[in-house]
Amino acid sequence: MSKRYTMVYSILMFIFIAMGIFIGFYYPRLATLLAPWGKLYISFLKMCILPIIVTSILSSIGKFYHQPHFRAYIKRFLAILGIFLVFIAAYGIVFAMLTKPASYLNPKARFEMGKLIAKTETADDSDFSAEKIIRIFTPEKENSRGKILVFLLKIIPSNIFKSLNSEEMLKIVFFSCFLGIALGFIPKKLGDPIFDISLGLFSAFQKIIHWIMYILPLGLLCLLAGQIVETGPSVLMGMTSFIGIFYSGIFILVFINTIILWKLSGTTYLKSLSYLKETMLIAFGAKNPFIAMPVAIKSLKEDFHLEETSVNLLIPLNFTLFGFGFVFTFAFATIFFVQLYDIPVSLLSGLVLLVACIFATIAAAGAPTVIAYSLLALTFDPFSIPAQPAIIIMLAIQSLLAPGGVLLTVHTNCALTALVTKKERNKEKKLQHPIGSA
Amino acid sequence: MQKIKGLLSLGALFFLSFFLLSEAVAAEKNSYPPDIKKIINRGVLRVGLIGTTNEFPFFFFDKNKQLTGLDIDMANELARSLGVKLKLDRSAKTYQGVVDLVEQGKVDLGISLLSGTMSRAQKSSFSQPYIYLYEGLLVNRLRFSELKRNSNFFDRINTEEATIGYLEDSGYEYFAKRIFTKAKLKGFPYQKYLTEEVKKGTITAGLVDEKQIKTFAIFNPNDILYVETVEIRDFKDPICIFVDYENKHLLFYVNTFLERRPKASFNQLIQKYYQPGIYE
Repeated sequence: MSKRYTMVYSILMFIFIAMGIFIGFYYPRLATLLAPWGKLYISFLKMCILPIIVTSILSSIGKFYHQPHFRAYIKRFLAILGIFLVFIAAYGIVFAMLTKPASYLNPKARFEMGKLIAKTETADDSDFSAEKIIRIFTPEKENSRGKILVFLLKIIPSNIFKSLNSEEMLKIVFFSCFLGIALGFIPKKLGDPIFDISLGLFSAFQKIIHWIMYILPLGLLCLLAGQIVETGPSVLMGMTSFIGIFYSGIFILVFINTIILWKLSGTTYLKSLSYLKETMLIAFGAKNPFIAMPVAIKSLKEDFHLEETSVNLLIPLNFTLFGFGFVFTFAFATIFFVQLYDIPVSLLSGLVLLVACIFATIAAAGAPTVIAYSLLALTFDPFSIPAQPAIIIMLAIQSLLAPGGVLLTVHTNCALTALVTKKERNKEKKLQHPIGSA
Repeated sequence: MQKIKGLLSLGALFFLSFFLLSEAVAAEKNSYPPDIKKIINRGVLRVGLIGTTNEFPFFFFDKNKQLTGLDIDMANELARSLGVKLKLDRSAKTYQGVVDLVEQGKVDLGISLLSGTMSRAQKSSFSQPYIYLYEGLLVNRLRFSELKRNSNFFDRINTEEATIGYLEDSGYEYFAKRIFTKAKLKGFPYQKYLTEEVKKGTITAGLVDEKQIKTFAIFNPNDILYVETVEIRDFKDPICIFVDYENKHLLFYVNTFLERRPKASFNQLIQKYYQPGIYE
């Protein structure tokens, strides 16, 4: 794109975003009419997501595995990943302890939360019901499956086409990685064409995404307007301060990421910020990291000049496995409820919480939102506080938290990829095909 | 002479008529069973109701500060059908106290959310149940989270680390001692004390009935964060109208009344009687 076009495009983007927010608040009927068009735009983007994930992993993992410094690369990746996870979890805990979001909760807010829990937690779906129904003499049967088996069942697809149809991301990524590695070990004559087709398809889908980006401002207008009118003011009741403080924490972390990316980009701060502008806006508006993935891959390769194979492999993997937004959300929400129940936080319980947040995030990889939030039970455990009311409240406001959480996940994964890949680019020579030159 | 004879005949006829009429009236009165007759002669149906608490939707004060609810409605209907006035006796401080009033003959009926238990059946009569209520627990979430983990809820709460509260002199006392064999038990004289202690977390859970479980969220939305409601479906508590064992026909009358009265589920009762702003 020419510089002039880019400037006009950026200005249009912000105008349309402002219009979308304005329409959402002040013209709810119009926003309701626009909402389906926003969803259509998302569908357009989603159309390319699964093919991009499969083809990008297939086309890169075989090459990646045969890189000369593969092991050193993996070690550095894991080390930097560990630093990111620990930092964000610790930051979430300390940030919540300093800002004390629970202290802003007034009696009316507690009333609304109580009503929400009572309305949601009904054991038999009637208007007036206990939260739990038990039978002492005929207790429920326990699930006798082992935990490892349950985990393996979660990641290994019994039918890849069914998993593709159901968008089971973790299973799709696992399958793609396994197949990609296997392709690297079959004879060149048989494997090369598959790599070439994968790369060709991947490039074609990237082109489709490029075309769709031309109408991104319009798509964002419809998306934002629809989101604001769908959420409505009642959900905010009582949780406004929580959401406000939550987003303050998110934006501070995003700012730190922009500093990292700026330093790695070799250009001005504003320019490096503009490179991931579309990625951030799509992540925020669509509330789905995978929808922002193709644009993130394109930007990291073309604007940050990162090595293609690593970006093609790491971005889909990282987006699936490392939900940094969840790390921060789990830490922040846990401290919020700890404050609500007046439980003191010791250094030991804080450290246990830090580890629990990381484990919960990894366990939440690829899981639907409801399952992911139920993992709050892991982070609540060190404090012996009940997780169920928290899960209900977090699910009720998750549509408001999701844009920030996804933005953090996407942006931090871009920073992580840039940190790992940039250093590797300095060391290695131009990549060869894993089983000979093309 | 003729005149005197005529007057005497007229007088005799008058007295005979009067006598026959009196006998007819006496015969009419004597056709009621004695227990019903006593109430009709008195002109008042005396109904015992616990005085220290109100229980929505059975007996409670509405927005206009009128005593209303299922038990009050039934008492009024029974009095109306007997053609007498209703008098509520709220001198009893406990539920057992209401049963005692019936046994002592101080009231004709006990309509006060009374459980028809085996121990009470030894000395009193009671009607067929007019509603069944499940037992339940109000559980302090924090205290419960501190208990040793167990996937079975009951096994987790029925441990030495837990304290279960119950209302003294009620059916719950018997139930608590029978079911919670390992947990510590603590009796409370009044329901509101029990509920407060659960909210504060000084006890792990309080044994209550379905009524308190299903209305807890309505009357205590601020406390839902801290208190969980659990229904125990193994046991149904029959709620009955109590009658002195000697008043057999009165019991028959009450059972006939209940038989002909439309039955309602507990949720239907809540919907019928609930108005925003009422208090117990």
